[in-house]
Amino acid sequence: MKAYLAQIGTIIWKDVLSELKTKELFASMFIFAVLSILIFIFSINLSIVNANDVGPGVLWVAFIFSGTLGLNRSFTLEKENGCLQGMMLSPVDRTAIYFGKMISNLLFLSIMEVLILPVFMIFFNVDIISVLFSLLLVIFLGSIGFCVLGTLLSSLASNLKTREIMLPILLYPLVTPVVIGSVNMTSRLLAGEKLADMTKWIGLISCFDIVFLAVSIMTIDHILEE
Amino acid sequence: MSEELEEKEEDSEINWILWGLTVLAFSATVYAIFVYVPTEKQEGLVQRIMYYHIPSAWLSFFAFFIVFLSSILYLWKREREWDIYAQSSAEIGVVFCSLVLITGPIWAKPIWGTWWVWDARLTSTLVLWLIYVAYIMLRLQSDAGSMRARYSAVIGIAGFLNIPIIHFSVLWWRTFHPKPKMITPEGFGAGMDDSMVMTLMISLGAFTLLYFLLMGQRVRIEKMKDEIDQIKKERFYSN
Amino acid sequence: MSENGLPSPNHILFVKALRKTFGLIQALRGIDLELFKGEFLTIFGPNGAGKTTLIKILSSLAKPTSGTAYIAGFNIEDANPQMRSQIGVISHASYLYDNLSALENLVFYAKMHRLENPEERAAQVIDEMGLKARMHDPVGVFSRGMTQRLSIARAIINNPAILFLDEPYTGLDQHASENLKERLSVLRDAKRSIVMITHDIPRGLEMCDRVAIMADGKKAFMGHVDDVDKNSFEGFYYQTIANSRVDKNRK
Repeated sequence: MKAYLAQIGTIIWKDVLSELKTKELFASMFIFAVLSILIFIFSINLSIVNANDVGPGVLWVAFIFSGTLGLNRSFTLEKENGCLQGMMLSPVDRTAIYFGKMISNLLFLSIMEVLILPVFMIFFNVDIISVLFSLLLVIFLGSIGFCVLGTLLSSLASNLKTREIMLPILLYPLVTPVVIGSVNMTSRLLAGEKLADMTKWIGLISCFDIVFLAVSIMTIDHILEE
Repeated sequence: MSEELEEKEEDSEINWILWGLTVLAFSATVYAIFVYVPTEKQEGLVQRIMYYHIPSAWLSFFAFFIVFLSSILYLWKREREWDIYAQSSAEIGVVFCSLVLITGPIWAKPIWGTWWVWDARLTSTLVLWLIYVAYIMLRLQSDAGSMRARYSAVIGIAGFLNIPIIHFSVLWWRTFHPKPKMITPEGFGAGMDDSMVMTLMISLGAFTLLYFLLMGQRVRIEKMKDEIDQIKKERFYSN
Repeated sequence: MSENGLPSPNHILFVKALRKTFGLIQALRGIDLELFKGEFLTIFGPNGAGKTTLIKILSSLAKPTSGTAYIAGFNIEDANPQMRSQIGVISHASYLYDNLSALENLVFYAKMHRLENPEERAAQVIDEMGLKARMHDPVGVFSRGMTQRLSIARAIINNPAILFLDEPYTGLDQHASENLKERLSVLRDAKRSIVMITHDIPRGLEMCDRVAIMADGKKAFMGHVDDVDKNSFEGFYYQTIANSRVDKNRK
């Protein structure tokens, strides 16, 4: 068990190290998120619509789009020189590779999300500080679901010729529940509702996280096979 | 060799029986829908589309369930047979899911006054359709082989397990769809007239037969494709 | 083949009736192979003969449909991760991250292999391959030949009992090929068991003890290098492939 965790840690360490050197993944994710927020702002008239109504949707679209960018990049890196195969040739359980990649994806996505929040607050002129803790919790819960399924599917899509196209096509319909739930909870939080009133959504998204974590653990062996 | 031939003959016999039954069942369905069953009082003529709409929905759901089962069996047994079943069933499922999405708005326009509303059942059907279209695209974009079979099996499993979660998420989101009339708390078919229940049952039966007929044909085509590929490969290498 | 159908302690590799099929497509149609410790086996074969599939199965990246294979005493069916610590693979892909330095790459693999003192071991193998001076440079700026040397360092970092070489000469220029050959001879002289697959006949014959020819997913020939005539081997190779095709079509 200790060796298993150490291997997961090694994969995360390698991803973080590589990212610290190039900063390409993180920079592109962040700029892409800002840009998608900007495009939405151009397409809606904020003096007419209530920022609290459209804001959460825009925020999550930005998260999901730039998250997809990150997922695509993370496995392209592994495929470039066949590194994924190299990793699979070491005495490591396939699920450890999955967890390593999943956690590093989640890490990058979470940092990006935290940095996007102030941008969102300024652009949409909404107050998030009073609900910051609950909001972070909701974002984290949704991001887990996105990364759990996203890592599984990007490991699968990375072997296709059309991986950049196929990842969102496979992923978006499957993460609908997470998107609906997260947007719903975010907008209710901004409207002043308490997190305690949303237990059924929290339950649903946690259920999604657990089901797809189980599916990933059970099927990753079949995906990471030549 | 002779055993194989006998098996094939037997197969084609079953096939003809299935053909006959399906044709009969569909004749009965058409008769029941357009002649036998009376026009519904409130909704009028357009309500008859329900006898296609509901069976199509049932069939697509059933087809996706078969995809799910075959996908599990494929990953377990690793036999091409199950991969063929999953693929064939997914294609049939998508065709009938498309029919649901087409017949729904035709009914909704005169009744609700709009082609589409973002109601729970409509939304979840659309999401379901998108999942399995993605499944078929995945199959089209990867080369034939065990990789394609394994990957699509994973999507086949993930897609089906997602159905209840999607269902609840869109249900809590919003809902306008007419309450199910067939199975209500008061009992089976309590919300409907007897003749309507009867017509629906005939139609459901006919569509189910159609599923098995289409499935048999599709599986046969896929197996022939395999054989052709095999022959091509042999020829290519021996020259 | 050993008498009881099981590997003897001297076997490093023991493969029996290994098949890989998908539907009607047969990548491997029943391969038998055996290799003793410290031997160098070269497998020749045209594209599509199933060489790469064989290596993938033997290095536990893919699963066979049926048949058995033992590597360094492990049965591949058990899918024991520990088996992989007995295996090193050098292929035309380097398995190295361009962004990371040579040292970081190898420390990563050392840690993945659960080695003690990963930093020390990584530095040691880099030194062995004569890359000490470039240890802290990112792999992305390395020449093809240097990358291949580092790739050898990566493959031997876990001190594997058997090495698989999958077309290692692909994409190397004359100089780099000579260099690779020298490195491989060192490994061979250290009595490491090596299996190389290639379609480059002169390179393949240079160092090996045993020769095998694969065609259409089957072993068409296997013999000791002393028993084959190196000068006429090319003709023999094409004849063997042609014969195996005729045989198959007759069936």
